[in-house]
Amino acid sequence: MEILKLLKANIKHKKGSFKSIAALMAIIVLSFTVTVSNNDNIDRALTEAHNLVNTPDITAFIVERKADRSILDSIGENHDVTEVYGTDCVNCDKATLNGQETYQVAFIYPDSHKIYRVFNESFTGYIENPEPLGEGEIYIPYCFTMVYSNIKIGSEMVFGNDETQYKFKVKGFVEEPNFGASPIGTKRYFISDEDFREIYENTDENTFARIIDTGINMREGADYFAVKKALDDSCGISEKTCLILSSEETIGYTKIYSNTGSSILVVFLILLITIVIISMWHSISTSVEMEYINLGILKAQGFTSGKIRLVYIFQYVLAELIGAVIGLIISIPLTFALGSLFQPITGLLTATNVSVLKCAAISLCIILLCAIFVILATRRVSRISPVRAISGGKSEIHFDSRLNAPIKAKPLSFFMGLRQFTSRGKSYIGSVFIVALLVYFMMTISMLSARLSGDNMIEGVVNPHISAAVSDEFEIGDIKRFEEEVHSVDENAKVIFAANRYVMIDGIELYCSAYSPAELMFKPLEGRMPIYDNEVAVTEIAAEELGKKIGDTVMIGSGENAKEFIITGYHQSMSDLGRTFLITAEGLYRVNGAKPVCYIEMSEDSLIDKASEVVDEKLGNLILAKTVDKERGNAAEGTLELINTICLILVLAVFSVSVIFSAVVINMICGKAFIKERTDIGILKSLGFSSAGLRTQFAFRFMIIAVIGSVIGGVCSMLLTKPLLELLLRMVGVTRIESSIAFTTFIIPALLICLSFFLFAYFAARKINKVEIRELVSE
Amino acid sequence: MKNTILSAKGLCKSFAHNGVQNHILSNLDIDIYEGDFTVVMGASGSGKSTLLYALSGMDRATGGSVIYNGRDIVKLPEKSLAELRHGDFGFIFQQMHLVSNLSLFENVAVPGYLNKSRSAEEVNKRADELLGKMGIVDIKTQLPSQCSGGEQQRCAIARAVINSPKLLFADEPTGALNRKNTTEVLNLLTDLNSNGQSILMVTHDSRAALRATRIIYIADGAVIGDLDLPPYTPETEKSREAQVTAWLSSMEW
Repeated sequence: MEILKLLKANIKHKKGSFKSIAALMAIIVLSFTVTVSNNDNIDRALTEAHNLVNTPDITAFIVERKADRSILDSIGENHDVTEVYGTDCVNCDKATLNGQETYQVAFIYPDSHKIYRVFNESFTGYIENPEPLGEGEIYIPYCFTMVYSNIKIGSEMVFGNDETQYKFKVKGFVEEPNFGASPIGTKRYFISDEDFREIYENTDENTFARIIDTGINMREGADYFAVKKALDDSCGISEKTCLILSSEETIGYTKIYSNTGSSILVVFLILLITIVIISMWHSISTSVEMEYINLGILKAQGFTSGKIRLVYIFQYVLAELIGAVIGLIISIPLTFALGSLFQPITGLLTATNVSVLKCAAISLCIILLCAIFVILATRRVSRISPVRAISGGKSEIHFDSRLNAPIKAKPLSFFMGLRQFTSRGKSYIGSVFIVALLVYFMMTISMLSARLSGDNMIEGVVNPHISAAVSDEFEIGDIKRFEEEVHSVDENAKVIFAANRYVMIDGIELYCSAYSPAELMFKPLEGRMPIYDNEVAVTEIAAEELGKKIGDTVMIGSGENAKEFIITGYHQSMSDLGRTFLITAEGLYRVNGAKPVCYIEMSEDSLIDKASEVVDEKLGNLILAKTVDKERGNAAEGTLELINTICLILVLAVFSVSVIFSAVVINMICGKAFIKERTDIGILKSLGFSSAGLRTQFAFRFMIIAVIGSVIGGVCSMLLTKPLLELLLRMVGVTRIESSIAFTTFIIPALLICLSFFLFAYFAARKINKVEIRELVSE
Repeated sequence: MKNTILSAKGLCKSFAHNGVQNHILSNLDIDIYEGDFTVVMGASGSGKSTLLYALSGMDRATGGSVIYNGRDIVKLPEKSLAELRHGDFGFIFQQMHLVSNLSLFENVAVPGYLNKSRSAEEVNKRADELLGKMGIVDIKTQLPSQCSGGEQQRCAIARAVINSPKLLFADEPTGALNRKNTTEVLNLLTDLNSNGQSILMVTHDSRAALRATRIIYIADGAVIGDLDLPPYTPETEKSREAQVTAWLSSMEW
């Protein structure tokens, strides 16, 4: 009972600290609840959608002209394969949506192949038993509403080139769980059975190709890569497919942003909890110091140290509990908002439920952790002796620093603030640490955002004015002819031959990017990019998986066609989350005879027509189909915009939370400082300082703290951000971050925090207005 | 004929406590004259400190007016009051109230910096002079907590006069000092007054009152006695003591 009384009095007396701790806890709980709930919702939606359409363990798009349906029997003979089935579909290498060229590999299916659900118009549910599609109607993936601009029902979808072209009107948007997420570069489209039959019958082996969409289920516990290798050995599946992916991989791509977000959240949570603990520690130690006499009196009255400490524990645990509940409540609308943002990314109808139980459990763990720190922070209570306390044995609260910053007349407020800081240096160590953490994290997020967004993402993406698929007459040596002819028109034009395939390398199938010249597409991290047809560059992730390094040799290709290559360097690519290698187009041709596509990027738009004419005239026999895009529409623009938006939201969210944290922490620290320095404030007022001047001193003091903390945070960022980001981004294929930190990366967070500290401190010091000089009178 | 430096008319000060109005000063009229060493005396709780704070603008009166230099300081905004405090008025507290994290020198100089009429160098020079005059220049780099009560109070006096105030207020300046320090502080105040400094001091120490050229006695928030004295000299202390004691007795002191 007496503990409850004290608790009530303490909370009433220290409303500021109580509210601040509750607010900090609310932000923490809000952050993880929204992220965890969103991840859970995506997981549930993915599981449900995959179960509904019976997604196979492996999906292999077998090119019919390379293998007939008998290959399915060969696949079925593998002892790890439990089921194999094939579905006809058509692959089209050119598609436009509302006039925008799509960059995803397109596979077209009859709508009777029910591996999808159709969204209703508001994307809040599905259409029950949708009518079969009519002539000229198409269902497209839901993610296109975000990837491309102004896509809606009725938009036009065109497959094929000028010679063979099929036009469709978008009838609706579908949820297709295997390839429907925006980060996946393959998309499935559904048209009426009649339209499908027409396209299927008129495939031309070039623009349209017949595909056997092969679903393979493995026995439980079987390893995907081992099965694929076995299938390569037995029936050369990799050579006969244009794409082969496991459901595990597509799930990984679907969840790539939410998983990356979760990793960042873990780091962010550690930071926030550290700040809460520092703030609590500061609050408790100041409280014990200020109430030394009261605590002594309580002890004299018979309160044990344990009981007093229990009051502190209850007080902070109660504040955290209230904060946790508030955080959980606020997370409801934010989870809805985040779910709505992620829905077009995953392409899934995602619930917006809050994972209450899980998040409540995490909250309790955090509260428990904080309670342990409260127990540790209140150890000083045990050392208070009633007699010493009551007889004024309170330790001196000033001059705990040997620093002696000078006081100068101009600007007096600044120098007074500086003195207040230096003379109570120890009290502000925690605050400096908090600022350092905030600035460090803000810089880390800025660098992460910079690495994930903008031009950094389009490394390895061709953005041409002229694209040309080569004919059967094309020989790999003709690459030189293309270069010569195009350069005769524009010597600065880029002529790139590219082909991307999954290819075996030392017995492991990895994504192979083949480019000539490779150095135009990628920059080496170490060594150099491949130049000759027996050279390969690998990512560091691939190098680790292969157990190879620069100078080692690897066998690329399957069975008898495997050729020896030498590793000339490391590069970095986010393709296939970094499990990739890079060879020249000539190198790929040497391995499997794959003919590359020619991409030409002119240095001046005015030369496009001329180059196109020259290519037709001089190289016409080597070209099967050619596309000229004068607008040079950025194929990846939609996705890049999406990624940029996510990065921007991430940066804004972290910056906003940091500013809110600054406000709460300052409010708490200022409140304590104000109580401690009330007499000094009165004295300074009596000397002629105005309230505004004293508030400015307060603000300067906290700005000095922010400046010092920012510098420490900046230095820490220079030393530690790179390894942290490399650890975080490894999951998306980035193993090395640029070592130099741009000045703006430091100055923007630093300025924001310094300004926040200044303004919030000025605001928090408004109580100075109410200090009366009369309080100094002792009658 | 003496010049009035400060004039209070109908001065009232009340405090509300638990919903009950407590009138400390009620319709008090008082004039303070230039060059005087005025001492306000009265029993504990008579309102003498409240009067001092109301007259100095450190606290706002609830009624009446305090005219200084033609302006009613009761009605002045906070900024003007702040300017008055670092310009025209100086204040000495009973508990010294030096800023705890400033050295003695800084405690004296800082209010000087607020006064824009002097350069920082001039302020520093004057601070050194005053500290020398107070006999504490050797310990000017020390913090208040490292000094004795007497040293602190001498520093407080130096601080109060750094801006050459027109009127120096002192609230029981010797209240927290021992006998030796009390004498030293009183000597300093007397010396200042003999050099023309107007002083208004509140005290309940009759020895301190001997230094006055005028003693005002208040009871229940009103002036009930006013005694003029010639300037203090050590030689006249005995006779002054008798005169003041007799007068205080008549005030039921």
